[in-house]
Amino acid sequence: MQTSDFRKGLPIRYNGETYIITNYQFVSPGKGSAFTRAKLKNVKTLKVVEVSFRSGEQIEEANMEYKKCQYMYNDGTDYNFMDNSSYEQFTMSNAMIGDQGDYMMDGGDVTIVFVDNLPVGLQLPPKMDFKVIDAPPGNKGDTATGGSKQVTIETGAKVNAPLFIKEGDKIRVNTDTGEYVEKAN
Amino acid sequence: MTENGKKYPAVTGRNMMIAEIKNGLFSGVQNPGKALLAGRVIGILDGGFVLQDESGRTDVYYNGQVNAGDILEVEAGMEKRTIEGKEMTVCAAKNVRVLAPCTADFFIRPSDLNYKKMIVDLSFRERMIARGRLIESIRNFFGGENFLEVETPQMVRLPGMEPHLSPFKTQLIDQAGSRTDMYLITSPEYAMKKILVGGTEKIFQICKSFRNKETDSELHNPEFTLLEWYRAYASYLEIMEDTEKLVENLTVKENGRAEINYKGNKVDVLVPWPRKRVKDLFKEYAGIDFAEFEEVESFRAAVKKKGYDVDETTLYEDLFYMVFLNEIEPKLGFGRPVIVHEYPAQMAALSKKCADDERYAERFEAYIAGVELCNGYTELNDPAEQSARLEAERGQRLKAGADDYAVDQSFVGALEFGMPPSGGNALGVERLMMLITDTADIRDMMFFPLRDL
Repeated sequence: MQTSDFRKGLPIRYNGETYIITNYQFVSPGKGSAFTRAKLKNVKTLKVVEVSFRSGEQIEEANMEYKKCQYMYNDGTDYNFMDNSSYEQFTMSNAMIGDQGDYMMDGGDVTIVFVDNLPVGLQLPPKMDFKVIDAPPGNKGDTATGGSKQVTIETGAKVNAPLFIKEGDKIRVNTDTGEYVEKAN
Repeated sequence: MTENGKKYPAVTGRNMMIAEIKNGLFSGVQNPGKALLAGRVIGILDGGFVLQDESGRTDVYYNGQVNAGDILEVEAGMEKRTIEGKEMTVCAAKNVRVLAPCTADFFIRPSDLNYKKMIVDLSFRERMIARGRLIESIRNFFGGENFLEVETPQMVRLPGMEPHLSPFKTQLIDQAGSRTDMYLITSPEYAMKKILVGGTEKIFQICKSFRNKETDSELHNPEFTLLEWYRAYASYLEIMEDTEKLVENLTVKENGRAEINYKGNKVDVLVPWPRKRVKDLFKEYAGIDFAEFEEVESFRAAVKKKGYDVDETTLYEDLFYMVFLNEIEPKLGFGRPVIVHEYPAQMAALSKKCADDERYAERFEAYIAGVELCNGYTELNDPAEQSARLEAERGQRLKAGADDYAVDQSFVGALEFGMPPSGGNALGVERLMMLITDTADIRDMMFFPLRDL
């Protein structure tokens, strides 16, 4: 593949190791030929490096595997999962899961991305619906600005939602940005 | 009055800004008169709302109903109230009148368009105010040096020839319906040099420039603001001095001292800035010595040895940037800015070769905190050589499959008339603003980036 095929979350092989593309942007196209500077996360060490690739350069794609798994619980430092087909259990650290943990329900099914038999990431639907379990009716001072208030969804995560959202409502949340999208019911 | 006239009244009797009424509050001054405020309801409170105008925001106590997002006129006064057991002087509304309703859902997400986001994101507003101030400061700086501000066309018959730039193409249609290809400028360079030929010696311009295929980047927007300036009877050495003085001047004005703090990196911009030759950087950061750097074959071997994807067709320029972007640029301009100068001659089509070494050209770039800020030259004024270099670049464009157009003979013709020896520079205005205001993304430095169109 080439730099034009880059997208976030794609695993590539670079200098004999496997990395996930976490971000990329074009650089200096005005003075040399076009280059793309990518932030790459090593799937084993989780260290991030920045590399500039020339457009036209051949880059080796790494094999990715998706597995349906069950999210069991969080023990404080790690998320614990079970592979639904092999019943094997494994963990992923809080650092690896990051904000995506806000959208997982204990006992719920999730899709885990494996590279070289290592779990490297979580694949969530781009939008998910959640029940609002707490929505304060009014606010004081600047917290009420921008037509929004903070509500709590069933996973315990907090989401900024419009003022008209009430406890018991279902809302659709963008799992990439954490933003409220629309009322779901 | 029509129904619509009632709903959208033309005027308000506003007689006070929110900041003024708040100042009165905090200094304990009672406001006996009737204050008429106007602004947008940006939040709903228990027993009131938050009103915002350009000067600030205030909580307003009110018993009636208002809608979030509406633009209101508010008849307000100061009242003593007991709130949570404490007696306080607060702003309270007696009456409100809707000047313009918000008929859409009033809800602002961080990913919303900049013009909406700025309603609640006051840091964005402050950045836009700084933007205006910086433009004014640039004008004051060049005005103080007796430069003439010029305006040249943004739409031209033939754009710059730089092989890796993609100009926007459009069509001019005359009254008879016949069509001519036209282009948006990638820089105002040709026109400004013609003005030097005309005898004006110090000129600057702040203008929009357009570069296609430059998207998906925190440092590029297809339409951006470029500052170019030229001095006749000067070389790139004077232009380097202009550059460092300009940046120091603007930084001191905006930040109170000669220090840029960009993404957590402090850079002391006090003049004079360190200068480094390009070949010295390749030696220092990449371990490639002068002899290897100066010959394409040996350079190719050295770059290949480092593990880059290189074959015998890889151009000198590409070899250069593979190493430069990965091993050198990310380290430039930390702690102190750096002026990088003397580029290999084949990488400087519009600049004069160094008098003492024809393999290098009098081109420079300035870097601050890893960001390339500008690109300046001792301008090439030999028309025959200029023509030959532009034809060579046209050849490169054809080979690369880029949009083909003729060399602008009106530019070459101007040089034939005689252009005084001159120096010039092109500086990305948004990039300079980003550095000074510590803004990571160029899209947060403009009201309407491509993303919001």
